[in-house]
Amino acid sequence: MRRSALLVVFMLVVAWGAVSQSSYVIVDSVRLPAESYVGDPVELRYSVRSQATAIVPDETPQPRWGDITAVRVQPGAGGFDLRMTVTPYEPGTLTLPRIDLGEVRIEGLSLIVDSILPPGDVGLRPAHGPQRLPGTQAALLLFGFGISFVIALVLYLLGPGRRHIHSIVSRYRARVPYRRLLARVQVLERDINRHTMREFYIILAEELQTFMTCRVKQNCMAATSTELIAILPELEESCGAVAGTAAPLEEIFLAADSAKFARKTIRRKKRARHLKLVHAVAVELESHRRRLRRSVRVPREQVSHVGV
Amino acid sequence: MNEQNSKSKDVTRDIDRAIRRANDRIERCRDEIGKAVIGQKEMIDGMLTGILAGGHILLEGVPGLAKTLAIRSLAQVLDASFSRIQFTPDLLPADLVGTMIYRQQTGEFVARKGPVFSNVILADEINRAPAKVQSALLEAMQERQVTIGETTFELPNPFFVMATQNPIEQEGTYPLPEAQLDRFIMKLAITYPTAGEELEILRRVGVEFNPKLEKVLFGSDIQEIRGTVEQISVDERIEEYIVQLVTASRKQGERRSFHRYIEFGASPRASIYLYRCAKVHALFEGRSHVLPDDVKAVAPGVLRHRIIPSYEAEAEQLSSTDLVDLLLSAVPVP
Repeated sequence: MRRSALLVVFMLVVAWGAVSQSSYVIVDSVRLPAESYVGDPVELRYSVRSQATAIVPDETPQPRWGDITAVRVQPGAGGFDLRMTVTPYEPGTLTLPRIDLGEVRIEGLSLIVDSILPPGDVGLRPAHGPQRLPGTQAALLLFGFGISFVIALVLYLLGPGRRHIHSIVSRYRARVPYRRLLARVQVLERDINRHTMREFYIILAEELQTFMTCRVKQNCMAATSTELIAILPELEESCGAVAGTAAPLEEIFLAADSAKFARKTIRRKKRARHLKLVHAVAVELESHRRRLRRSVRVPREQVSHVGV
Repeated sequence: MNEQNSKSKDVTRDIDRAIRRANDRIERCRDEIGKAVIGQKEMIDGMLTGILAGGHILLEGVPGLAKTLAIRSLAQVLDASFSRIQFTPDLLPADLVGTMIYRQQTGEFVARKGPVFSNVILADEINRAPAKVQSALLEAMQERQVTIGETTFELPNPFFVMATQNPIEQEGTYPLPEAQLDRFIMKLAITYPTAGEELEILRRVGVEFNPKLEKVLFGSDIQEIRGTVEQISVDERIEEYIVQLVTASRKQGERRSFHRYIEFGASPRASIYLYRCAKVHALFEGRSHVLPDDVKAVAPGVLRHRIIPSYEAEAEQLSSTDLVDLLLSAVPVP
């Protein structure tokens, strides 16, 4: 009997001890939001049944894995409601530190935190610097490329490119009078019936004068037909052509004078022949000029004077 | 249409024939003068141009270039009266044009005509006479008439004055004013003969030489040749070229690089004389139409005394002939 009484006492002591040690029972817990990720603030709500009086601690315990930003206690049915706001910075199952609420100490609470990072890529990354606008990098690349190009171009133009460009420009310019003459001859050939005989020779003579002005480097626009005929050997020489290459032009100048000033009739057939003559002479002179240009190596300082 | 064409061909043939005939006479005249004057073709052609274009000529050259001889020879081959007037500082207008003299028998004043009443006048060293004498002659040249007392007398036709002046020895001379220079159709600058010509002169004139020149050009011939000159055609583009040349010599409109060398440009009279002289030159060349070559050939003679060089031109030793060359090389030819 005595032994039974002792056993009951023992059982009561053990039960009281158990009740006094835990002193609370968590009857309900809510997590807002239900799924939480690293960095997201999470509100944890626990309904605790306890006879003890809970007091909000002066100092909120801080776990290693994140921040507990707020702890609130509200009286509830048969105990109190504990609310905490936690911001975790690590993924996984995180154990909350013990929270001392005066007569009751809550411990063993945990929180599951997910991560949007792929598995294995854990840990915090350092904060990013200021974000660039979309396309900034491409623009910077292009700008850099542009600057480099300009610098390269300037260096090229000051150096070997100058001579090269001069040479290209002078070659182009040198051919302008020839191309112009051929184009005008072509137009005259097409419009041979549209122009009067006089107009025809006025245009043709003017084109020849322009061509000769460019080639012999003197103002042939102010030269008469006789003077132009006297200049023909100079024209041949300037193109490196053999003497007599431009001689057929003499006939054209004389015919032009007759048509312009004596109003003599020159038949269409002869006019067409004159156009062919001009074309042939121009082509011949140009081929000689190009050959001459190729054969003569132009000194650097004279490049700018060549070809006009 | 065919009738019109054949008529136009006939006219052309007539003109060509008249030009050939005129050139034959002019050639005979040149040959005849050539007996006395060696070389100086430009001077002789210039004088003939003056006669045929109806203008007066000013010859400028250093002494000894046969200026006077050429004019005297020209007067000899022309069937015309000739007077030589040596201009000196003490010459009076009355010595030139004539004066009123008192005739004792009748008791009245009668006009006594001066040497200016001749077909060809040689005004030798015109710049040595004072301005009033120069003016008297230049007035006669322009008006072709002279007033003595109260009577006005017509000068003979043709009336042709050839004046000479020396570009050196300017002391004690009276340079012709620009307005009076403008009345000469041409100013011919006489240059030295070539070495070959000078050798020929030496051989021919080394001994006393006084060739007898025949009269080959008569008054009627001159009138006929002038008529032929009238028929020579001038295209409107040539006319425009003449005007462009003259206007380009003035500091008006389009600015040209040589304008800084020109103080005053040529007058409209220059356009008229260029036109006339170009026609005569075309005749000399045997053409019935004028070419730009003709204009260019006569331009120095017609323009050189009408373009007044600026101080800048003088500083750069550019003569008016150089300015005419600049002008001719700048104005586009039609």
